[in-house]
Amino acid sequence: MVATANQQLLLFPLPPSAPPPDPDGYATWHLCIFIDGDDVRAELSFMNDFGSGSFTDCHERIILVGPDDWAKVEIEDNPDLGPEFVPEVKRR
Amino acid sequence: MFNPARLSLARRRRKLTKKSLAEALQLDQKTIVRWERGEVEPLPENTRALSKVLDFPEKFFEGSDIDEFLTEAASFRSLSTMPARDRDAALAAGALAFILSDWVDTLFTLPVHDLLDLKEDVDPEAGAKYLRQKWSLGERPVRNMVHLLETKGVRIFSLAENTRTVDAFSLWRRDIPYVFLNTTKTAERSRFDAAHELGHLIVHRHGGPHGRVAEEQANQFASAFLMPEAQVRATLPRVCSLNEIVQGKKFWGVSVSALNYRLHKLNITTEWQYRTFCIQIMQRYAQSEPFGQKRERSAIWEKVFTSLWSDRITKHSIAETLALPVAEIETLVFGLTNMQSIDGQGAGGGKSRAKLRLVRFGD
Repeated sequence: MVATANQQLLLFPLPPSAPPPDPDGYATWHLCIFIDGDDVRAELSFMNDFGSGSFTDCHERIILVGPDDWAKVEIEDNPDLGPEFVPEVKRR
Repeated sequence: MFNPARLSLARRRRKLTKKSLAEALQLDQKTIVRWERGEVEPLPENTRALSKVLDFPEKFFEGSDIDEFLTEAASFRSLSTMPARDRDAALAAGALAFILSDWVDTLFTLPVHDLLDLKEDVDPEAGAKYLRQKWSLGERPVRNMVHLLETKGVRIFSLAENTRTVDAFSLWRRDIPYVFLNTTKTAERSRFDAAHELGHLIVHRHGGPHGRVAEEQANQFASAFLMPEAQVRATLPRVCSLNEIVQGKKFWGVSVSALNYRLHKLNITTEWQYRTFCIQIMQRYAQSEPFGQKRERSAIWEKVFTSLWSDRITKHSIAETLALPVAEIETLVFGLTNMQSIDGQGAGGGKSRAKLRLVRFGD
């Protein structure tokens, strides 16, 4: 599951998050993965608030696989290597 | 007349101390010291013994002075951890290369250098970009580093120093840039070493930082020269697995580790990814480079020795003319003398004399 990318938040940013709970010196991070065919995304989230079955705010998000990141990178097997250099050697 | 400097050079080339040479000759160490200082000249029988122990022709010890360079004049990779005997042996090989190079210059015209002269404090990444522009390389992978450098006037010699610490070194001599590559490393490593030394020749020609800073700058230059930023970003905009780096290394002709490092320096991979890939590389490819490429060899020495061979000048006659051991010449020129050798000694596929047989036809 991935948090909705709400562009409005850029215009109207959320108020500063509450300081992260740290009762025992531990923090809980969630690894969130979304798979829909070739559309794969993943992030590591340090969540802050939940609502209507989804989390609505987080302290920190680390995007591991962003939109379009999953597509396979194709590298040419026979790249254009550029010119062949042949040093000139002349007999005196 | 006996030349003390040549004795010292031959001894260092063989990684012998004065003490160990004295022991091999069953002489007092002070005798070696006096010979090398020129205080006393060895007797003919001593010179014969020196020739035998050091495996240098007797005539070698009678030659004129040889150009030798101080350690500071040459750029060595891990100088601080390099045993002095390894460094001195490599430098001595360089001095022998000058003898060969000077002799070849009397017979052939070789390319004049076309390197940049970066007098100002230029960022190595920018220096690599300027040089690519100057040489009209665009952003494409370099097909053959040795041939490219030779075409641009760099004299390249090979070293066969079986030590971990001697990778390569370079220096300027009489406005000619020289690079010495240790061919006991992998082909990818040698390509990177060649680019690294090119960085030293260009960025540090007029002095500048030494030691670790200079080495890092030369590495930055080599990375940028072999793996130009724009092309890396266009070809590998993101990396999800080590397999993609392995594919990429074939594209640029570098090691997996070199590309992994470059991707991290360009912020294409995160610190975490970089570390993960480093561990995977160690696990999978610690013993050998995947898809290892063919070793690059000198085109100049191949042409020179082919031409000499057409005049029936063999490696043995060259060695005799220059009073050098045949093996030293072979080592310095990528073993290419074997190609043209009539006796075919050594690793290469030598040409053999035609074998003629008298055939009797039936009556």
